[in-house]
Amino acid sequence: MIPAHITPINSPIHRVDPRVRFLGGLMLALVLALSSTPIVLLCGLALGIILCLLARLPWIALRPRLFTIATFAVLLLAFLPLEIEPHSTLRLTYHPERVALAATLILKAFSIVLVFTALVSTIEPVTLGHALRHLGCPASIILMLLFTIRYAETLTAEARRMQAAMALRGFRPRLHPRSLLHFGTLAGMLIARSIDRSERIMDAMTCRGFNGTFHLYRHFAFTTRDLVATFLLATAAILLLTLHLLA
Amino acid sequence: MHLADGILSPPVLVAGTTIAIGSVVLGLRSLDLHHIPRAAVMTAVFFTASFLHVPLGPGQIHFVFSGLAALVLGSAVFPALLIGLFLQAILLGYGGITALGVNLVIMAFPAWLAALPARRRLARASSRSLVIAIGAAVAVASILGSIAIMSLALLLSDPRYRNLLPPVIALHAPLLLMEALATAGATAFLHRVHPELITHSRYPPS
Repeated sequence: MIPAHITPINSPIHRVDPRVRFLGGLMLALVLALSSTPIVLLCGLALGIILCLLARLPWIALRPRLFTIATFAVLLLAFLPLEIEPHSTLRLTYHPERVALAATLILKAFSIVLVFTALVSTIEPVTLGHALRHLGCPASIILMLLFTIRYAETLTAEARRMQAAMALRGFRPRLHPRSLLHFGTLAGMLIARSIDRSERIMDAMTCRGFNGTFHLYRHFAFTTRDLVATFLLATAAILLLTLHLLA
Repeated sequence: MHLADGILSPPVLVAGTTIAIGSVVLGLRSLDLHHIPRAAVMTAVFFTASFLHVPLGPGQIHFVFSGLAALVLGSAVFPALLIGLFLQAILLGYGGITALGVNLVIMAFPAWLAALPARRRLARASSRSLVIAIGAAVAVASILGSIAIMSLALLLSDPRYRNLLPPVIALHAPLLLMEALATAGATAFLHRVHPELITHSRYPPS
């Protein structure tokens, strides 16, 4: 469920404070999302590739993300330039100038995904939760996030066990009404069992003194390396913004 | 259903994010910190359930269960789906991080709206076929609502995106059937074994 291959690598990016990486990634993603100037997007793409190389991201981690964007790119390139003529029903015209629009959107999507994957997806999920709390996210949201990360794995295993039990009894997943109703029962069963599980968790937490306060146990130190990283990321964002305003 | 980064225009992104923040705050207000573990386990259930998939032609298609999530969680569906979408964006690269707010509005808002009257009706429902019909109706309303909001977000961003609407809507057609039947099955099951879960006026039923 939670891809492990992204996390435990030691690279210049991985050593930077997660708070800096999250804010930097968000800032760069916003600048790139707001700009549609080709030169800015090309610089963004180059920056994304550099960051991915710096983070020593394995191809296997990057491939599914790029594949998602590529599917979207095919959809854009196939349908955006086509237009049904206003006065006839089934005549399609092709607008070559819209290929440029599609290309801009694709470039934008690729550059944002590369930058964000390199900077933020390399943060281990639990650490990211702590970093977000230190950045001032509400405690309740972070607690829910950490619980979801913790139980996603457990519940996936449970869902797999239930699916195996169904398969042993001859169930085959298909796009068929009866099969879909059974999927519903599977989801309902997962919910019903998880209610009992959550009662047990709640009891265990109460026994250990949980009174509704969420204590952070991981703290980050802002070192000189982080200062340099902040400076570099901020410079990159400002440069992209300046390029956008000049062009 | 997940919009990628970079397609939506800045005003649409700002509007979507603002509505999303407002609805998450509304959702969190209904949860005191003491009840969060229970809501969080439910969030994990829906994150997991959205990975159940059905083979379709050469590929496969996965469930969304936004209607079911809203039936069980009430207004806590907003923080729950926010976390689900955030994790999907961070861990798997589904859906853009800048479009997170818009994607949350697309997924959670119609589901929440559809589940409100449904929970009240389910409290009084006794026949199994009525329960199944309500479950299916919630799922259909959520998916249709999501498609409508998504189309609106695309059209408001750039009128030229109207070309994209027919293929996007066509891609969501099998989802409509899947969600309707699976949500109906789950609703019928839960109505039998944990009726308080989907009929209580607010989450969690204390």
